[in-house]
Amino acid sequence: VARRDVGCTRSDIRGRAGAIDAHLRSLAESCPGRNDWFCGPALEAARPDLVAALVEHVLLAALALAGAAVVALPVTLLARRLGPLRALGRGVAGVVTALPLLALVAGTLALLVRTRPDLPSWTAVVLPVGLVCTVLLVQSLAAGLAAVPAAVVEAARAAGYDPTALLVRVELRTALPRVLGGVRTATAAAVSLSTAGAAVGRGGLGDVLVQGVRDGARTEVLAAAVLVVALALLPDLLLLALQRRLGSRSLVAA
Amino acid sequence: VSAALDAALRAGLLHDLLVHGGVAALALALACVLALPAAVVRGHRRHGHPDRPRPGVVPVLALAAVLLLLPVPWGGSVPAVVVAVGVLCVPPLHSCAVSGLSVVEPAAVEALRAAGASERQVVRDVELVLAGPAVAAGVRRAALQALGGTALAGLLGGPGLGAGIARGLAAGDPDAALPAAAALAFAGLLTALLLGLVQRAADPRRRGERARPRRTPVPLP
Repeated sequence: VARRDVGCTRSDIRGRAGAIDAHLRSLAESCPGRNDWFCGPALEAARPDLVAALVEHVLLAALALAGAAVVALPVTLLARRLGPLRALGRGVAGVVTALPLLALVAGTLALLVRTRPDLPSWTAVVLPVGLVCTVLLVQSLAAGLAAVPAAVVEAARAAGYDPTALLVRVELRTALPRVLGGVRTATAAAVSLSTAGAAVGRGGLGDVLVQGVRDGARTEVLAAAVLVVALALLPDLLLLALQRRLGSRSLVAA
Repeated sequence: VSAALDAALRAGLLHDLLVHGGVAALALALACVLALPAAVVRGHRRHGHPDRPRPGVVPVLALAAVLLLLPVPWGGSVPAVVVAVGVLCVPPLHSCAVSGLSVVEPAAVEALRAAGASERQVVRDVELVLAGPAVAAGVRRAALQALGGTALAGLLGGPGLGAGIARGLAAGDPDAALPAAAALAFAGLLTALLLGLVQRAADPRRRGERARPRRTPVPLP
């Protein structure tokens, strides 16, 4: 009677086990040395997961980077005006860079669970990654603006640039190669640090890597690893090309 | 929190912290061996460019995952994580050292050459001394990346504090992960502080200033 209640007879189990056996056998036949680094059918089977993880990864990294980009310029300009308080800002930046990302993720999640339990779990990834990216961007912006020669600024002011035009058309323009260097670092950081989201099950390709290592699925791990590296390298190479072009036309020699 | 701390200590938090530090230190040593000789050669030839620092962020999780699945003589948890994190630390170390060595005052180098020093002496006595703070800054950045990278490798079940944090977060109980996360943050801050002091101590100008008397003892004519 109990068996009937569960809705699963012995023959059912035998049938299912047979189906699983057949599936494993077909896998074994298609990839002779099972658990290979490259196995076409396994890759084919994992493709929807990989694509979904890739999309999630791009979204996570883009969100963190976009947030950082929006915050970075106002923060830098504010820091320029703070004067003696700049040391404090530098200290905060130093602390953020000194904290390992996983500690930040754990801290953020613990904080969010207490204060805003309604927020989705990916905010616990995007916020710390965005914070790290913001610090990287602010550092490069501040270094770039500080390296603009005072004579250039004075000359522009004498030529009648108002503060906004001075900032946009002279200072940021001159600092651009250095700022782009910061954007490159931040992009690579966003892509590779987003894998840490695997800790909360929201790591894009990081999830595939963690799951793959747990299952010993080499094909999936290799595919996800190649995708992560490509995802980190592609924007980097594009920005490097842009940086080279701009650098060669830079107003001031380095 | 104190109950969680007690539980964490009983679960071997201290042991995990020591293992974490050890793995990160091994990785840093590997990165130094890989990065610095080439950096000294390239810096001596002044290949560095202050406007184009190399971003040093390799996706450590990807590398560690592939290495962890290698057959046993190469794979195995500790060697895989050390190699992955060590490779992660090479770019920042290399780029800091190269750009630091590239901007060493050329006059100082020429002066030593004029005095008949060999290239080896130029590198050892002038370039490495004057670029000391830059190299130390690179070591500091690399050390912090090593700590963070080792923690990330813990998501894959690697050694150190990361595995405990990952378990707590995966179980949906961030409070259980907090002691390990706090230990990790503490390790990061301590490393940054100590290596920051090393960086200051490595500055020969600072040392020179301390050795020199404040005022010229004899009024100059």
